[in-house]
Amino acid sequence: MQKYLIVTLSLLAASCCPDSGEFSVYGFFLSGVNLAYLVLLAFLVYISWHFFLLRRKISGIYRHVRKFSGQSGSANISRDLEQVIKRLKKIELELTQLKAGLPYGSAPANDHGPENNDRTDTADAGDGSLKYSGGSGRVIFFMPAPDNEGNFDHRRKSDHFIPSESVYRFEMETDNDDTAEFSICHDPNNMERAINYYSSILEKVCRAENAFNPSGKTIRTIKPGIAVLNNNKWTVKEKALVRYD
Amino acid sequence: MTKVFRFHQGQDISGWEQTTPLAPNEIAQIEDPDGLSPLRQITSIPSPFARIDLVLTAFLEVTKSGTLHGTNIFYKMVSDALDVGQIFFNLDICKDVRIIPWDKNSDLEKLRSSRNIRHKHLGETLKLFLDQDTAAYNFDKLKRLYILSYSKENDDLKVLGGTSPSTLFFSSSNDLEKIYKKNFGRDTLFNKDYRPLFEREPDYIRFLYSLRASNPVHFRNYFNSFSDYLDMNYKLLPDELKSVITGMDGDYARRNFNILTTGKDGDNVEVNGIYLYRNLPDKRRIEAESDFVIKSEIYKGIKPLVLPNSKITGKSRYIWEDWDPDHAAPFADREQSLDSRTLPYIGIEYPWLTVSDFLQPYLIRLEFPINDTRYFNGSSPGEIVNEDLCYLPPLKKEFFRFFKKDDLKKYHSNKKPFFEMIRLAGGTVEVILRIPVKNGYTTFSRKYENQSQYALAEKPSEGRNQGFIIDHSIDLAIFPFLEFSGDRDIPFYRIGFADKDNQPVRLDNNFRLNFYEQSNPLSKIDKIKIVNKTRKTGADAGFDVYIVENRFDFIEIEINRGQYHALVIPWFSNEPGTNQFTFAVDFGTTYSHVEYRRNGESPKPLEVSDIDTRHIEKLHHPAFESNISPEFREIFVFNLLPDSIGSASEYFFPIRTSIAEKNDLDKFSEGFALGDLNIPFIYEKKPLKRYQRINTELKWQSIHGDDRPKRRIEAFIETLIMIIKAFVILNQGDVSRTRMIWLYPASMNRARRDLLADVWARNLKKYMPSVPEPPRAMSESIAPYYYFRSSQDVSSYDQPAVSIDIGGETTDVVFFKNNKPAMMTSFRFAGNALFSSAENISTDNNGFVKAFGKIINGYIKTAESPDLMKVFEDINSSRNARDVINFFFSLENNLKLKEKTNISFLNMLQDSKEFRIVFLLFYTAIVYHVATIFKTNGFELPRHISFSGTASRLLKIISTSNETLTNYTIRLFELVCEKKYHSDGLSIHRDEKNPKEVTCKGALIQDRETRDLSEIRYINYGINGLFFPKNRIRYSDIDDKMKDSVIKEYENFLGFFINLGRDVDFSNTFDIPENTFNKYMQVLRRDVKNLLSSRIAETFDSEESEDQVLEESLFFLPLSGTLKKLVSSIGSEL
Repeated sequence: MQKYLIVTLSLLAASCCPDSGEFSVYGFFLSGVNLAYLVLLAFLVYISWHFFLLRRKISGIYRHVRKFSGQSGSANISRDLEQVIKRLKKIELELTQLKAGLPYGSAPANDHGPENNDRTDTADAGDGSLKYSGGSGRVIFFMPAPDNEGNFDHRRKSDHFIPSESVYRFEMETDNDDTAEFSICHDPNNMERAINYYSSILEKVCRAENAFNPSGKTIRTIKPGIAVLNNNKWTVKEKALVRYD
Repeated sequence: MTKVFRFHQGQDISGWEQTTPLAPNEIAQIEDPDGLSPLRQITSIPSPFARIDLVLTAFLEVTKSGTLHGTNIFYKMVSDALDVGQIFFNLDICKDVRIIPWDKNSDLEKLRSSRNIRHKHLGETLKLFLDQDTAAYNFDKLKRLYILSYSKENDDLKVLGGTSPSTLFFSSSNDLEKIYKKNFGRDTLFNKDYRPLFEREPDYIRFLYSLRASNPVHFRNYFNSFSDYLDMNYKLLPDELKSVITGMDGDYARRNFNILTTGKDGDNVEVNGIYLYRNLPDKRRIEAESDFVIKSEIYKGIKPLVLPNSKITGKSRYIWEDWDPDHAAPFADREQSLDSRTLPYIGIEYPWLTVSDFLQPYLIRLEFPINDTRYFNGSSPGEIVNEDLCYLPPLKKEFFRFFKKDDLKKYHSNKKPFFEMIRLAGGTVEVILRIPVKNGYTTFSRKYENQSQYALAEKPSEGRNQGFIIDHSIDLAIFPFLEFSGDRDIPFYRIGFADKDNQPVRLDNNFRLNFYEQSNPLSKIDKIKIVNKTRKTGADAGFDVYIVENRFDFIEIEINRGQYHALVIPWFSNEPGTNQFTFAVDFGTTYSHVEYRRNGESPKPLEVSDIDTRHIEKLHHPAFESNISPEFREIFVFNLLPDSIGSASEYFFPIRTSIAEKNDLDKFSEGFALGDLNIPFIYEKKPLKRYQRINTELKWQSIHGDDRPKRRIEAFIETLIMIIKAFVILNQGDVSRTRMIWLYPASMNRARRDLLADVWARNLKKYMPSVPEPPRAMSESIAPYYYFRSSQDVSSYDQPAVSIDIGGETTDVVFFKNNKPAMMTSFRFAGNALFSSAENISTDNNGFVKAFGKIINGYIKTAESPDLMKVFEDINSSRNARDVINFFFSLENNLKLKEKTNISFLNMLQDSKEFRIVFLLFYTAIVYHVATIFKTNGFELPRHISFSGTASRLLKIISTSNETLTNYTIRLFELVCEKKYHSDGLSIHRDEKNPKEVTCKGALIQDRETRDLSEIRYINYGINGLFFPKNRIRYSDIDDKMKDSVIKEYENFLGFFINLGRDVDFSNTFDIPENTFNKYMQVLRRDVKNLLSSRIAETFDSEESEDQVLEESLFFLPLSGTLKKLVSSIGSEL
């Protein structure tokens, strides 16, 4: 998270301090590049806020756990702890969903994909999981592995990332809802799973810019693939370009 | 105005006048100030036996009234007295009620002689009244009073009533409705519904009338008003009951009921000499009479009732009367033991079943539809399989105490299914179970609601018939998918269980499979071993193999040590068959093959392709396999078996001879075939999993000391036998008529052959004990000849024929004369002599890998097949050149690769002029050696030579023209034997497409051939004309002089080869570059002695002692060393 903030601040600093060393409001807003920075900044601040809230939740629950574990003789401790564990797992899931749902160009850690100005909003889907929307005019959803022919079954789409099930992140414009871009979700377990089951998960819908690395841990989407919806099937029109690290 | 103070009407008197005692008329005129209100008991009679009198009066009043229904105190007293009688009669089911006897003589005397003055006074008072009212209440006939008392949980005794010498029974004046709550059918005891006798349970009615029938005169004398009451009721009884009563004799009660005692044997309860009885706690009678008795053909005990838990229409007899349509039985009973349960509403101890006895509180939803043709999925027949049919049936195993699994498929007469699963709005699923009972069926239903896995919900309450749906990502497969039957049919199962429940919230879930026979559903089979292949992680599924050596009918999936359960119910459908099968198994160095003949038909490779006879069946529906999680698509073939084996499949025989084992397996002796050790059908096609390691050198691994090689061999053979047995049963075969042939190379020494024979015999006996014949061993050398004789008209009647089988490790040669084997020789110079690395250590030195590795890698990359890249990488890292080259060869049969590219390593070799000399030399050496034997033994030159075995495909590299090869061979023979070939010429036979299959096919064609070829064994040692059996050379005999002699023989061969090259013009005939020939010859002459010594050391098997006679020619040893050098040299130059 610190990385994000440092990068964001650097970008902001760069924007605010052009060569002249003076801040130019006019220049700042007119520059297309800076506009992109601003959008990215907004997105990163939003994500940071979510992480912050989740961390606060986790800290609260840990305090709760410590409180309970300090007590003795309470008949309800076991049941309460069980509930706390469930809550923790739910939050862990939310974190996973949040990370996995990031657009392909803004993955944390070592992802050096192309710049991406997509904005991702999240909302509680009602069942405790996070639902994504791709900002104004864009829709995000998640898909499990393609079938043996390399197609995605539209009926199996999910509004939120489901660990060990969701593999690809689809994103499309609301006014063009039969064409979507897809990329691999950034969840580490998902990427490891894709490597383990390469032939089912990757082979039919991705091409690689480097040699397959069976012992690799990360798959980065360099360029998202394009899929077209037809009769409840997303058929891959253009494979995603990935890189094994 | 004067007021007369008296209760009754009568003559007015004044002052003191003589009056008469009150007569009944006067008494009748007395008005009850409470208006005979049943709310207030009559208590103003000054007698300890007042209650007896009141009840007698009540009976008199009721009979006098002429109606049996009424609401005043007399009806209450009659009803309560009858209730008391009913408790006496049903004492066995009235808990906490007991009889306290009071003896008129002894107990009265005790009171009277008591030192306690109060007791004494009571005794005297009682005596006074007993004496005084003898005639009125039959006290003269009274021996004992029996007090019915109730006490719950150490409370004070509360008297409910007792026996009466006037009316059989009387009730106490306590507020009994509050004290004792009990129902008999719709009748609640002591309540305000004053039931006349005729509305009571028929058994009780029969009981009272039978008392009268036991002694009618006495009964009328002593219980006159009661008898009148019986008469009044009789008229209103159903005809059926009237008929019973009319037919009663004096012994009826004794015959139909049990004598009532005070609790002590022989201490019978009697009233005025008339014995009372108790209702038989006759469960058999309930079983016979209730309409709710479960209709089960298999339940042996008292059959429980299945009571409706919702309103029913129509009449169904409960116990004594019809079930009240407004009643609903509870959804669960806390009492787990059926026999200890009491029936709702009547409290009789009798087994009965609730919906919770059959249905689980949780419904498990899988991520795929269940394979409905192989497993029970709850769908109705004809229901099109769809993605909603993904629920494991939420049945409890107790279901099988009453029903067989086939019952689940049945329909009731009104076309309603026995089991039904209905998808409702909002994702709710309703499960309906229609349990057959005597009068139709009782419907049990439970609705399962979607339950968020993150919700902190309470557990579903079975008492409220709640059900929740929960998701689990699991799958399983059963091998073999068949039912074992018969005493001698030893069951063996391998059940693979995949656990992909690895979302964070479910990662801690653990699973265990329990196996049951439906004949014993409460006792799980204990002959189970679990092999954990891999544990689940957040990124991969876990996998266990259950080894079940017992027949079973269903599987219980136990989740989180009993938190949830679900059943998996397979539909095994195999029928006993009569087909006769014979199998031949060629356990080869590189590849192994299985062929079979059915009822004497043509031999065929073993194939498992028919969807109806698949040996392994997965839980997920095959039609949806393309869409399910990748883990479930792939995991079973990695850890068990492919469901399809055959030419149309990715997996087929011949298979690579190899074993994949758990990489942490240490106790090999305890390792299970198809558990810890698997035949990896995926080998060379897909990368092994991280928890697997591969072993390819099975056939010739040392079998001394280390037990691992033996266990691997055994696991390989054991797995084949399991597959074969499943194949026989699923293809309507008669296991007891199955025959088995296994093949061995002639060069295999006795110890190793005995080991294999033992492995075959033990496993055949273990898995197919009904097979009468032990497995038959047949030499690999001899079998191909019979195939060619049958398919290509090869004969040796006039002129000899030679069968040359070139395998991975050995070449077997048999000389046939008069269609019989006349001589046999075998040597370890075969495919591996060409393809293994020089020092058998690294792939780096191997010329083929050097020359073709990058090209092949390029093909794989072009085909965008990282799976194969990984396979190549793994095999290459094993540093075994033979494995790498076998991988190269396997690519042309790789279905997935075929779709993308046309690759054939054989064609690459064929197109390589540079390497052709290697294969020509290889072929020439073999034929030269054979020709030398012909010459030495003075045989007529062969009319036919047949080639078989995996490495015989290499002949195609020398020349695709059979004519060229034939002419070359003729010339070779002529030069060696120094004579002109006969005019019939030579025919060369080979099966280029399936050279490996030839051996098995021949063995099946001549399946009675049992000749032990050791008798005709011949070894040309390649040393100064020495040969076995005339000369016997031992390992210890090999010295420098002998080595020199071997080298001399080798040099002679090279000279011969050079001359032959000039004779037939290698450049022209085989397109071998002329300019390289001499250079290659130099390579072949370099370091010969070193290489010979090295090869001798390699060939010397630790299992053979130094004193053992050498069983193969030394001729090939230098060549096999120099050939590798040559290959390496050529490979480096390319």
